[in-house]
Amino acid sequence: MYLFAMIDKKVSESSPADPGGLIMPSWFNNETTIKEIYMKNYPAAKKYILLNKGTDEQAKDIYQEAFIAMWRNIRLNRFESRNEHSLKSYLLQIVKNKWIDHLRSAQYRNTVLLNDSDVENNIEEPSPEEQERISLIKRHFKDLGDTCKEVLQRFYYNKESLRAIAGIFNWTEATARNNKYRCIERLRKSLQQNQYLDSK
Amino acid sequence: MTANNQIPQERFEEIERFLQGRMSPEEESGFRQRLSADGDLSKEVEDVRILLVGIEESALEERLDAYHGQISVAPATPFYRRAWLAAAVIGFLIIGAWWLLQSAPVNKQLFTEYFHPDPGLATSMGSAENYAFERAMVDYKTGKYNEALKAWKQLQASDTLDYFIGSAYLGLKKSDSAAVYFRKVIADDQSLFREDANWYLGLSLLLENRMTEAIPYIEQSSHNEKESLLSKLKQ
Repeated sequence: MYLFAMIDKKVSESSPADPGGLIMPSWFNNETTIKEIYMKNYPAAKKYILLNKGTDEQAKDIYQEAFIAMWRNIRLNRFESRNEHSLKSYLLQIVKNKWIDHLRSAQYRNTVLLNDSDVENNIEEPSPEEQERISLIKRHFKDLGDTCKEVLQRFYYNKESLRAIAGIFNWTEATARNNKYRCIERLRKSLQQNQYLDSK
Repeated sequence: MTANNQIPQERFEEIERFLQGRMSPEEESGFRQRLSADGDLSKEVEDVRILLVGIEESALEERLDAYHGQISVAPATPFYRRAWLAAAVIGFLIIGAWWLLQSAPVNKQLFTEYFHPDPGLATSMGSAENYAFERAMVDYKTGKYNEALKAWKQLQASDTLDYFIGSAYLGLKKSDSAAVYFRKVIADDQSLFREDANWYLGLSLLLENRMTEAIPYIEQSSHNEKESLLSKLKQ
């Protein structure tokens, strides 16, 4: 029910133009919504994979890969969901595509053949360059230090306010703001250092 | 990353406000004008945009296992949105069902109230054998149960096939035949359809007015209407 409300809100508020699709979709800007989408759609994905020779573990791995791909495409405004059903179809199609790719690998080539009609190519894949950039950011983010990681995750993913973050770390709000910026610059510098080393 | 190393704090926070949709319409309009005229700003916006996606995606990846762990305890919520038009149609159906139920025995009333045919599989496994399975699945989904049964009975037995043959029989209200196939599925410890088969075997027995026998099967299912039906059966 909550998810419906969020999506309906998004559709009804979609009047301001966003040329280039730069602004984060507001309905997706909420951890509760993301978690709800994850939890509600897993049973259907699992059923598909188990019925197609997969295991529980594979179902979970493929679903999580697909979920991240869906999340990224929504986050970058490459897919605009109109309702819960279209979102579910989109996610399950990514699951199917990923599972079929998996079955086409050498390990399975002689044992299982899936129906090609299951594959749909209308799902936009990130470019290799973009994939590489995001992977690099994630690798450097892991090495950022616990405090910086927590500050940035709380602010950008959990959408906590600077005041709330300041309260957690026993900082003033101004310190929280400055520390967030320092953490961002530390991450950017680390990435630039990597780029510099790669270019040598 | 841009060649220019540092983005000053105020400009970074302005970019961040823009990307997060936190600017007023006037501020956003001015920012977009600058964006279209300033190539460096445009590159910085793209850098920050991808940077924030990377940070958020890291957080998401770290949380997925925790989300996954909550799946089994998640409350069941209705899946499909009911549009206002559908509500009107449902209203007519309820009135029609109520009228029919008034004249039927209790077991048939309950069966009519709780029996919703399994929606069928969205896909198949692809080999020649499964092509025939899938064709018959299309018949099943469109209510052509006899056609589906004819095709499925020529295929090699499996728990999936047994389950859908049972489902097709129950769609035809042939509860005794349906029960035979659902019992075969329940006997298979590895079958993914066991819980659903328990529910539909319970409904098959209900249709035959064997209400006491139906209860243990319904109890072993995980259908979201299980408790509601059990409370009526135990009255």
